[in-house]
Amino acid sequence: MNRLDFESDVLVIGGGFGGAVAALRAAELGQSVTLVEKAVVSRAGPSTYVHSQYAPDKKVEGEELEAWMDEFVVGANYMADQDWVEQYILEAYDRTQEMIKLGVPYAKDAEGNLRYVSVRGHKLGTTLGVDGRACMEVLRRRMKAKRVKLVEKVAVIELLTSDNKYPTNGSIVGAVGVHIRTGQPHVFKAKSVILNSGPFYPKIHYAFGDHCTGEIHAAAWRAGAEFAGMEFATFAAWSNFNNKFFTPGQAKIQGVGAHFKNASGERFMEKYDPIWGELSGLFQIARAIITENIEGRGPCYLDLRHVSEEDIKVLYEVSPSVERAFNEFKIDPSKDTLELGPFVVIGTLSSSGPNIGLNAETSIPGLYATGYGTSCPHLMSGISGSGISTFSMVGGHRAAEHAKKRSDELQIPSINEGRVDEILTAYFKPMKKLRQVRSSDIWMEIGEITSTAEFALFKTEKRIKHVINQLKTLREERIPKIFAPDMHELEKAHEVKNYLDMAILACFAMLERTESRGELFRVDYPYQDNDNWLKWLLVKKVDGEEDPVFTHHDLDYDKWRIKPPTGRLPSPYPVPERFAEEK
Amino acid sequence: MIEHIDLDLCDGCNVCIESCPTDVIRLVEDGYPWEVKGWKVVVAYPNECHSCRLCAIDCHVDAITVTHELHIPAPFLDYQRT
Repeated sequence: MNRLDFESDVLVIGGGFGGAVAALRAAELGQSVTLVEKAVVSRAGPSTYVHSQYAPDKKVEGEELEAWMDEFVVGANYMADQDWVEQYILEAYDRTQEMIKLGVPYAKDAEGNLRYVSVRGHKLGTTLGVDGRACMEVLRRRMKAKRVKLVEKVAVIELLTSDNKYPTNGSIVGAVGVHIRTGQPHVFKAKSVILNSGPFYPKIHYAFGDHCTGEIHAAAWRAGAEFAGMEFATFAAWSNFNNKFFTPGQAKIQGVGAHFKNASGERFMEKYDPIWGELSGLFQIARAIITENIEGRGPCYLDLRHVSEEDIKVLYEVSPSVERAFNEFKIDPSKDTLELGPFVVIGTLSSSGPNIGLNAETSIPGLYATGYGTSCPHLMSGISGSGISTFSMVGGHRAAEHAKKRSDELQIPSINEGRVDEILTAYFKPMKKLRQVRSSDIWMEIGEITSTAEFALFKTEKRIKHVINQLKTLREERIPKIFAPDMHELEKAHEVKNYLDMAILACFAMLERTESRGELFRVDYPYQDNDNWLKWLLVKKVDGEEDPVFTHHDLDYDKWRIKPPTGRLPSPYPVPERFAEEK
Repeated sequence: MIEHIDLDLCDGCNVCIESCPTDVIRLVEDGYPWEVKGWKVVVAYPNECHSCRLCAIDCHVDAITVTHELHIPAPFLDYQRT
């Protein structure tokens, strides 16, 4: 099949908020821009389902800025890069003001004023309700008007490096993609590449993330990008209601003052998270519910009966899917409670992926990343999705500006044709032979290995090592047997393979961090160790090494204003007897 | 999941096929190979639908019914296993 070739100053991979903002900013700066998206821009990824965006209602400064920053730094368990937090809060204002000017339909009150509201994770910082899909439609139209070239239904399968090495010692010069239905190869040459590929989750039909399985994470990893925060790669949720249906908008539901109760009507969150209580993060709530269930106090319920009619109206307005789902299942929140269905999987929350600097630059020249698909400088660990969408825009804007400076000094790079052929041949391999394993079988096996209480919630060295071995066996013995009869199955085959690579990497990082912090809880180290672990774990693929190689990066607390408590802080999280460490 | 596509209402505009992020909807020939009656829209990969409703939202004749019913694969929900 004929190959399609594209050349541009900037290539953006992934068309969510960050990718769109990056593409628009680069175009505004006079760059030629191509944006490639596996689905269709405005019908893809978590951006489409966002219900609110972190949006300061003013340019905060001085002591107030410090108080707003404090919220992030504490929320991120002192892992946040405070320089990033500061620029994030300041520029979040600029970016959302731009969105307002572009005509994004944010939620307004009866008088027509923007309605700034609070959301899980923030007591000071404000957010604006918005339908993510409507926002992305505005950005899509804008990109078309600014002559950004949109290449859709094309999945990027590998990045191209200047020295043809993986991991590279050079720079990124483009990417190879295939059309998801026809398999038509697409080759992109660019001076700079900006990744906005979203999170990685297993395919569990949840959080609308089934097409975000870590392909670009894995491609960046193979190319040699340095990753950070992989030990916190745990995604959890609680809104699988009545074991039957789910709605997005968990942060909004918490925001209107939801109560979490066990079978005897006790509000239990205070016990598990004395600081945030019922406004706690998804993982903290999910593990509390599971622990209540394990200890025989379940099932647990979501109770909105005390919430005023006015607040429920607001909830429905900003999260129409909540209203639709409640209607479909005949739930009246003023009368009914909902049984909570929690789960915990290996996946990104908002702090696991390529490590980026203040300009969204990765460790490889010419490669930028923003949004969920980065370590988010550990900015929003445990904080809601509304934060990540604005972070993505701030990062995208910065990446575009930095890429522009870079591109002034460069020519469109040349690429190695032989390497492109090799990449495509390797990609199409599972189609060539009749084998027996389906990718969906492997997802179930991943679930069986990783979604046990002892691994997901009560980690020990032994349990993590056991999971690594099982996942490696899966990768070595089952993945090569996957059979893909058509393009659709081929894409799925690569999705599960890439997810598995990222899951194994996450397990290695969980093993390396010998303390408990945020989404990582270890029974054998049940304390936050601020003497030894105010550090990031950086990890890279090293030539000739089978396992990932870690370095420990001390955080800049000599310079930063917000100081952490010192010493070992015991985790308040109770461990049921049967999950205590085996001797 | 996509519960139903009303083929009497569907005018074959293809919008749902394009808007599905997991690419599960297809346009196929209706009838038998020896007696093709035309085209119809089908959910080719029903197990992969993640109930995002984008197809129903985009359908301009409201032919698609999506329920919020959702089944997370059992292995991912069983925390009692040790």
